[in-house]
Amino acid sequence: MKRWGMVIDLKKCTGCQTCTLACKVYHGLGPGVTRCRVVEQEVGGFPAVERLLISLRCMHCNEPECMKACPTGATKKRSDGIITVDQDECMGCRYCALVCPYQARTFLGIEKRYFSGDDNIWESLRYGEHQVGTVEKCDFCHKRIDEGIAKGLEPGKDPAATPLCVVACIGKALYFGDLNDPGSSVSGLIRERKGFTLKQELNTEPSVYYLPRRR
Amino acid sequence: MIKIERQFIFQQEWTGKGERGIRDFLLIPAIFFGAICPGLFISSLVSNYVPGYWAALALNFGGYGITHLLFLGKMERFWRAVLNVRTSWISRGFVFNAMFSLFGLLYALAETAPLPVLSDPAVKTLLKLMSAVSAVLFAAYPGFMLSIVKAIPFWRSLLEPVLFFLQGVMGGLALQLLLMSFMPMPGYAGDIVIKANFVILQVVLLLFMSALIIKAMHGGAEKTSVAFLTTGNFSRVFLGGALVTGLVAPLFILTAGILLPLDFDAYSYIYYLAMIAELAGIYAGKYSVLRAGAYSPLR
Repeated sequence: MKRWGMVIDLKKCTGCQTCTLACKVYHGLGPGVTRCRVVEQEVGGFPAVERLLISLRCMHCNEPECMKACPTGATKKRSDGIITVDQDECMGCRYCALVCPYQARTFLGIEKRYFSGDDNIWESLRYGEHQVGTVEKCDFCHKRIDEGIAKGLEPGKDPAATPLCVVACIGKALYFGDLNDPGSSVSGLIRERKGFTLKQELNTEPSVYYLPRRR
Repeated sequence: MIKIERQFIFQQEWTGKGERGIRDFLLIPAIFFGAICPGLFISSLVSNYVPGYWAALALNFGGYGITHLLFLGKMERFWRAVLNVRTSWISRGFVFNAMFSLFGLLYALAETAPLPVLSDPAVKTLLKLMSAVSAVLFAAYPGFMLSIVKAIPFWRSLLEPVLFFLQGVMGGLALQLLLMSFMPMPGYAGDIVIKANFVILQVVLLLFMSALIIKAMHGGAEKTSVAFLTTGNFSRVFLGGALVTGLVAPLFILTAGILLPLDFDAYSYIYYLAMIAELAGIYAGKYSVLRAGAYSPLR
């Protein structure tokens, strides 16, 4: 059984927000709605202060708090570990956004546009996929993965079957692959570079790993 | 391993503020009525105050139900909330509310109109028991709902459900006393409600302060939440509203009333004022607890 996961190299991330932008454009996310973002943080104290750039998104936890909290069953975990929100089932209570320790969910409260006037063809197509009054989150571009696999492509290796943020990253800081396969690139990186997950104390077992800047 | 520290941020989802204006705000009154409706029903059950049953059910329908529906992003899908009872406290709360509405209505009917089906003593006792149990569960469930949120340490306490339940009963007693000024109950004096309220008020104040002190002693996000409540602009809502207006001032009035002792009929307006202050304090308390939900940093 596959378990898709992502590895983010903190040494390579330049904080350019290309992943954020690629995600927003590809999924047609309006103002105020993000599925992935890069945050800047200061770590340590003088004289050993470091500035970290951390790309954040849904961690696709193995033990997802959001799925347990969701009253309608709209939040689902697929057999490959990807956590999805079925917008036809979400009632917009936002409990999932509250319980997520990674603040990875956004509530689409009202319909908003970046520009006034009529939508262009792309906007009409993509904005129409989102339902006002429901919750949004990263889904690892599972449609790309599913369509890619159907065509015989391998997620993580073939760009057409890989989440768009990974493909778009200019610093090659993002990696995608099967965490359950010890031979995959992501498993190798986690093993060799001592990859870690965020908020380990909560036992949510995230599928997004980070590689430290220093060994 | 490296540690990624991040400034604490406060939850934005259930703050009563949002892009949808009044609809986002409606969660606060919903949670308030979700506490005092079952509380009023329970206090009315103890004294068999029939108008209290109907008032509790009406406020449950309007104050809790309608406001909750309007808060939802997709209110037409509210019925789906029943689908994850196994793990979701919102689902459980939905079930508790449905049980409370059903059994409460049947018991109120049985007490009001002697219908043949409901007048059997065994049926009546069963309905009383079921409505009481569902009211207790309904009053306590928001506390469980908050206490399981791992991301927000300030809410993670077993005291939450206890406080939600006791504050509900306290508000219910206050509301019952106010109702009794309009619809008196023959043979049932207001000072009994006052004495019950006095006891619960002390317990709530004790638990409230204990919870705050314990949280303040912890570091990180919990301390940040306590600081948010007790210093700065928001302290007016919490310290002034929830603590002083809602707990200390009513306790002072009730203590004076019991120790002096003040004749209930002569000083009833002072007691009513104390009850209104209690209700306002409960509202401020619920709002404060929600606003103070600080996330622990990513690390």
